[in-house]
Amino acid sequence: MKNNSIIISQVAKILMPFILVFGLYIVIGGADSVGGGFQGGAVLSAIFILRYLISPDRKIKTKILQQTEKILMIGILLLAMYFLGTSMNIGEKLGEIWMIFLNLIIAIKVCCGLSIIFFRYVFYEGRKFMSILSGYALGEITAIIIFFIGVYGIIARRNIVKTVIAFGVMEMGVILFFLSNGEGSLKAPILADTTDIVAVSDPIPQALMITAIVIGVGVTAVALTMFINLYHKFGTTNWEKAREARDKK
Amino acid sequence: MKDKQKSSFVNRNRKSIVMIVCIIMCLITLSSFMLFGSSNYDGKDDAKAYVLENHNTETGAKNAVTAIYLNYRLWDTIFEAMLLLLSAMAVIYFSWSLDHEE
Repeated sequence: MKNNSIIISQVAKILMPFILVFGLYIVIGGADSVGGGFQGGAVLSAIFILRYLISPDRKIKTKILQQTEKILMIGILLLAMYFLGTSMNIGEKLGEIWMIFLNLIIAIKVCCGLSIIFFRYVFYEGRKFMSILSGYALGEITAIIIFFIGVYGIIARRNIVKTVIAFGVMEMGVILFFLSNGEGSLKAPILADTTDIVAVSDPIPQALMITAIVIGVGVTAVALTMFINLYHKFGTTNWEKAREARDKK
Repeated sequence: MKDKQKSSFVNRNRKSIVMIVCIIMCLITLSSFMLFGSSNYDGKDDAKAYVLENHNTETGAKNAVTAIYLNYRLWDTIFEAMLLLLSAMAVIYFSWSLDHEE
């Protein structure tokens, strides 16, 4: 990416050590306080993503990450099977160090996995897989099916909370439809260098769907609050019973 | 009597009837989309081409999405923020009226 933003790359450079320390803190402190291997690993994988933002031209060696993840996965499985077989409680002997060790292993594994997913999307999937899919308009078909699942939920269910959930499902269908309708890209639009790519995603539905998502959150929040109010008044989650109770009053 | 029987039949099988109706509607929409809806606007989509060509020079943003929602469609963004404020007000109002009932 030739027109890489200087602001983003410099800020990312400053942030990187802090993220490393924070991720390690979450992992190591997971034995005593909030945190743990999975959460810390997710934070640590942000380092690799930031490294892509700093210098996107340099290809990362995903092979090493993949090997590490596989070996650690097998190692964790073998550890678990070993302790299942021998029924030996090593945790009692080693105490906290054992937990920190396990957390570290899990953190490195999760970090590798998330980074692999990210780099697969950036370097490979965006070019091959999506171009195959876009020929069949699978996104739109899925969106229509999801929308009608929501319609079914609204008509068939008499529970008020389920109606709210069905409304959210319908909303997601509409958003997916617009996003995949404007999709003609072979690469992610935001991080892409658009000079050497002919087909880019349509930015207009993307910008509009940001507002649609926020409005959906607002609608859901208000609907749920109204439901709580109604439940306190009539003591039911059923539309029909709530209407009957209201008519009696 | 007959009417009551019919209504009970409808009541008993309401979910399956609704499901069949939904599946039929879904199939109609899907088939019409497959027949008439085009997913690729190559060459026909003037707005997309215009935005992609001019967003950097007109708005100074490198990201086309940012250019749209902070410049071309600024009112949309502002009123969306207002709508969020409105929904927060509604939530506060409803939980307030819950506490202050006579």
